[in-house]
Parts: sequence; C-alpha cells; structure tokens
Amino acid sequence: MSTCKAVRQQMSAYIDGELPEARTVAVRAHLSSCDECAQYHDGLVALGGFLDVPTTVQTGDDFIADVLARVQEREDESALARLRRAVWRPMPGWAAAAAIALAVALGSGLAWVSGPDPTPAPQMADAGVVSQEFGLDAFKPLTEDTVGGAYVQIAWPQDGEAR
Amino acid sequence: MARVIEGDEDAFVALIDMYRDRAVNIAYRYIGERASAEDIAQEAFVRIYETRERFDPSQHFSPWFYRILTNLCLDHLRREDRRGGHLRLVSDDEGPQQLPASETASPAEHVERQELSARVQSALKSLSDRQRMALVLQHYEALSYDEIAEAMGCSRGTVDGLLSRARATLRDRLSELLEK
Repeated sequence: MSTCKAVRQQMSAYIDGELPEARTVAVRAHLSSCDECAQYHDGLVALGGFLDVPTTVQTGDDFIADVLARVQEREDESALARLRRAVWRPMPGWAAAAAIALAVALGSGLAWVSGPDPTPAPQMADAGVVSQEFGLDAFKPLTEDTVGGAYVQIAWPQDGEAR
Repeated sequence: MARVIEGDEDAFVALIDMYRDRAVNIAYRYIGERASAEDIAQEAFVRIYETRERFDPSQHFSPWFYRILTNLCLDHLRREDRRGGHLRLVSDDEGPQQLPASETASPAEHVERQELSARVQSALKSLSDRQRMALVLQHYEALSYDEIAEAMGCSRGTVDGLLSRARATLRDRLSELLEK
C-alpha cells in the first residue's frame, strides 16, 4: 500500500496523466481508501480551474513589422561589423590620411620612373558595389569625392579582397 | 520551416503569424508585464530567424520554439533579479489586470473574477522562476512532461518535481479559495 506522502508526491503527475500505468492504478486505489489524500487530490484539480481565469493578451498590429525591422537591423549591424573589421582597422585619422597620401605619391613616382604601364590599371570597387556585396545601403551615399568613398575605393578592390 | 531556412520572408511572416499570440501569452503569463512580454516574443522570432540554419527540418518546430522562448524569459528574469527588480505578475505599472467582461456575468461577478485573478496571479508570483515556467507550459500550453523537459533543458524527473512543488505551493496559497 502506498503511503500518503508518496502518493502526494505523485499526485501532480497523476492528475496530468503522466504516471506509468502501474503507479496510476496504485494511486487510484489509495485515493479510494484515504479521505485526506482524496481531498488533497480534489484541491489540486480545483486549482486548475483557478488558473483558467482568462489572462489572454493579443499582439499589436505592428508585431510582425516590428519583428521584420529587428531582423533587418541585426543583419545591417552584422554586415557593418564585418565591413568594419575588414576595412576600418584601428588607425588614427591622420595616419589614414598619411597612408593615402603616401600611396598616391608612390603610385605617381613609380609611374614616372617606369613610364607608361602597358597593363590596365586594377579596377577598384566603388561604394555601391561594396554596399551590394554586404546587402547594405549605408555606403551608397559615399561618392568618390568623400573621404568615406575614398576609403572604400582604396581598401576594397573589385576582386573582393580587403587589404 | 524549410522555406524559412531558405530565407523565404513570406514563410517567416506566416510562421510569426501562427505563433505570435502563443509566444506573447506564454511570456506574459510568465513575466506579467505586457510590454516586456511582447518584446521577448519579438526577440524570440528574431533568434529563430538568425539561427534558422541550425534547425533540423526533420524535427518538430514547437519544441525548438518553446526552448528559445523559455530561455529568453528565464534570462529576462535573471537580468531583472540582478538589477534588483522584482517579478510583476500582476503588472505594477499597468494596474490590476483588466479581464474581459463576460456577457453573462453581472458587474458584481465581474469584480469578483477580477479579484480572483489578482489572487491567482499573486500566488503564481510566489513560485520560483522554473516552477512557474513549468506550470505555464503544462497548464496553458498543455505540453507533456517530456516536451517541457526539452523546452527547459532539464530531465523529466525535474519537471515532475517542479510541477509537484508548484502545485503544493499554490494549494497552500489559495487554500481559502479552495475551501469555499
């Protein structure tokens, strides 16, 4: 015969129909012969009725649009972070400007020493191409005559490999 | 879900539409505050989309959904606890929860239902986070113990213990009502 304590420990699973058959039979037999445990059982069953007091809330009209906006925002952040890691290495502004100036000077100097270069100049990506590659609109406004656009062009050759 | 994995936005929208009320209600019953519940539900769908490629299409979607949502709810309450906040099952900032008026209930009966709801919510508040989550998933979502165990990342025996203790606590807290 099951003890009252053991039966009460199994009561929740018994009510939920989660006890194995043999234990279900044992608990049922105990309840038929023990008024206190039967009362305990009835109390737990009644509890379910109290929990059924309606608490339903409905989502707002903008719920789906808000989720999609969050997804887009995360994707933009992610693409931007990747681009930053690839292009915008930690470098003070003056150092970046100096690097650009040096690159231009070296390029001009080499061209002067070696004369006309028979090979075509490497094509550089523009901000639009980079934007497209990253699925991001943030760089489209960067034109060649802006500092940002110049960085993109220098740091992102069209073959897609960042310096 | 297979179409969502491929990045089909229409399929993702359909998925959100199918599960959004369920998600918000689970979070609301668990946290007790509507704005946070909606925020958590939205975040759950974002996580589902972000991690969609990790989902095995041969499996059912629901357990995965419940797991993501459950973890977000538990994380939310842990953060609240760290910030020294307290649980608000009857939302403190929104006032007592307004239940929809029943067509057949008299005003007096409606008030009585409101009071009953507040007492039940207060009793739920006294449960531990995990006991409450197990109860929400079992009672309102009608999940089996195995499904709850999967959602909460614990064993079936643990779920049994959580529900057993939760009901015993609620029974003590609501004994006056039960004796009526």
